Parts: sequence; C-alpha cells; structure tokens
Amino acid sequence: MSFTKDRITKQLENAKIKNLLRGTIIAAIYFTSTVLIPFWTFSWIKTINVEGVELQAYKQQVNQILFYVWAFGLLISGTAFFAYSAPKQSIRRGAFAVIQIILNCLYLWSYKFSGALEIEFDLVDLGIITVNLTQMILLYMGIYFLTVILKGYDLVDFIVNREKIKYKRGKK
Amino acid sequence: MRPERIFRLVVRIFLFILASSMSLVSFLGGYSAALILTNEENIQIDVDYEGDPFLNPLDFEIDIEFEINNVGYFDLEDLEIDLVLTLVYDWKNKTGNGINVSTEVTLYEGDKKFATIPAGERKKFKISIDYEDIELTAIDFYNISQNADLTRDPVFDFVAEELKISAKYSLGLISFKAEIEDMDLGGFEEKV
Repeated sequence: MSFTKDRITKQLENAKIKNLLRGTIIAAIYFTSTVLIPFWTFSWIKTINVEGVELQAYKQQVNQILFYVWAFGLLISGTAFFAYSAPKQSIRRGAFAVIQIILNCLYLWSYKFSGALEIEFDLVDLGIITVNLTQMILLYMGIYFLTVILKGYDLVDFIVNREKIKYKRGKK
Repeated sequence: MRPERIFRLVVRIFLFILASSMSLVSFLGGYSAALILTNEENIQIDVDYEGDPFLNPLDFEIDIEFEINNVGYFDLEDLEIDLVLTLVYDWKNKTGNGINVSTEVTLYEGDKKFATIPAGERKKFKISIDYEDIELTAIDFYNISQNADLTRDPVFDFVAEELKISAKYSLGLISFKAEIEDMDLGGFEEKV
C-alpha cells in the first residue's frame, strides 16, 4: 500500500517537473518570436543602406513600436508559461490559452496603433521609403481569430467532457 | 482519441500550415527587400535624349530608363512610376548682383504603370517624353535659349524633382513607395 502511494507521489512530482519544464521552454520560444526577433529586426532595419544612403527609420516611431513589442511580448510569454505548464486538457490550460491568444491579437493590433502598419524610412538627403504592411497584419489577425475560436472550442470541450477526461486520466 | 480531439487536431494542423506559410512569406519578403535595396546595381536610372530643343523643340525627345533587378523571391507587382522632371540651367549673367544663379523649369509631369517583374529577373522600363508631353508644361525653349548660359557644361541638367516608385511585393501582402526628391539624372551636353 505504502509502496503504491510512494510510486504515485513520485509520478506526480515527475509530472509537475515535466509540466514546468514544458512551460519554461514554450515561454522561451514565445519570448524569442514575439520580443527578440522583432527587436533584432527593427534594430537591423535601422542599419540598412539603400543606394549607398543610410536608411533611417524615424526614431520616435521605432521606439513606440519597440515599446509595444516588449509590453505585449512579455505578457504573451508569461501567459504561455502558465498555459503550457498546466496539465493537458485542464480548464486552467484552456483559460490561459484563450487569454494568451487574445493577447496575441492585441500584440498584432499594437503594430497598427504603434504605427508599424506603415513604416517610413528616411533616405538621408534623397527622400522617403514607405512600407505598408496592412494586408499582411490583417491576414495574421485572421489566422489568430481562427486560433481564438479553436481555443474557445478547447475550453468548452474541457468543461463539457470533464468526466470523460478525468476518467481517462484515472485509468492511466 | 475522442472524436472532438480528432476534429481539433485536423483544424490545428490546418492553422499550423497557414501560420507557417505566412511566417515564411514574411521572412522571405523582408529578406528579398534587403537583397534588392542594398545593392546599387539592382536599381538603375538613366536619361537619354535625341534632338536639340533650342534648334527644333518638335524633334526633342527624352527617354528615362529604369532598370530593376528583382533578385528577391517574389514577383514585383503593380509597379508605378510618378515623375516630375525639371530642367535646371544657369543665367547668362549669373555673377551679377540680385540675379538668380540657376533656374528650374518643369519639363514633364506624369505617371506610368509597368508590367510585373518576375522573381529573379532583370527588366528595363522606359518613360518616353516627346514634344506633346513637353507642350503640356508650356516650357518656352526660345526664352531659355535667350537667358541661359549656353557655355555651361552641360547646358542644362535633367533633375527628377519628384520621383515616386510604388509596387507590391510578397504576393501583394506588402506594398511600398519610394519618394525621391531632386535627383540629378544627367545633363544636356550638346553645345548650341
């Protein structure tokens, strides 16, 4: 009896460590894709030369974009940790997944109100280059909208089929 | 696996493919733009002309040639060039007090749409300006010949006062516009 209890306790502890590790890895992936990559990209854009002329993105605009990238990127990475460290098919995971996706939508939308939909680069002594990313961001928003629906479906599924999920877990 | 989870898995795979393709398109689009813009050889603008406007303005023709090398991964679509071309010359008595050293006169104003440049191809486009186009700006070559310093080399310069190049990239998802001001395109070197 005591031997079985010890085994179950050990299994549960292993599962906790596994969940925490998964949460940390996924949070790190989200941090890289939502903060580090955009940050490096915008910093790199500032150093490009066009026709031998230095390309200068308007500093204030870039700073504003980077502020939102950091703010939402950190929130997304944080919620990703809580979502993915929760047990599979749990209500906690479903709820955090929905929050995370809504934050993802806000993150994308932040590109609009931070001015990243239309980025202007100053070609010193020559002119301006304007890059319009509206179509691309809207398409991303569409994909995220479908993901929100899917996460909502997950949450409903986890609540409605609670007994089935618990029964399956117990069998394992 | 429960049927609800199988349905979820199918939708998830579809969304994953969609999101991955979008990320790939975004990355390749940005990388292509950097490839095209960072090499001076990829965008060339040249001016060529025939005839002498001071002798016979009716025969005077200007060709502005654009050569774009699309070294990126996507076609360059809906290419449109908007140009305001001016002619800059010096006054005869430019050393005199209170007299403008040089004058700028509009020679052409218009826009033109061009065909798509497929990925990996180099294409040339031409804006041909003839007397009919020049006539619209009401430029007076006789007046210029009377006041301009014809000993100057070149006699006058062709300057793109405003040059706007716009196009769509990455399957039409990214559009851009380059607005260049006061770009020297070359001079009219034939002595009169």
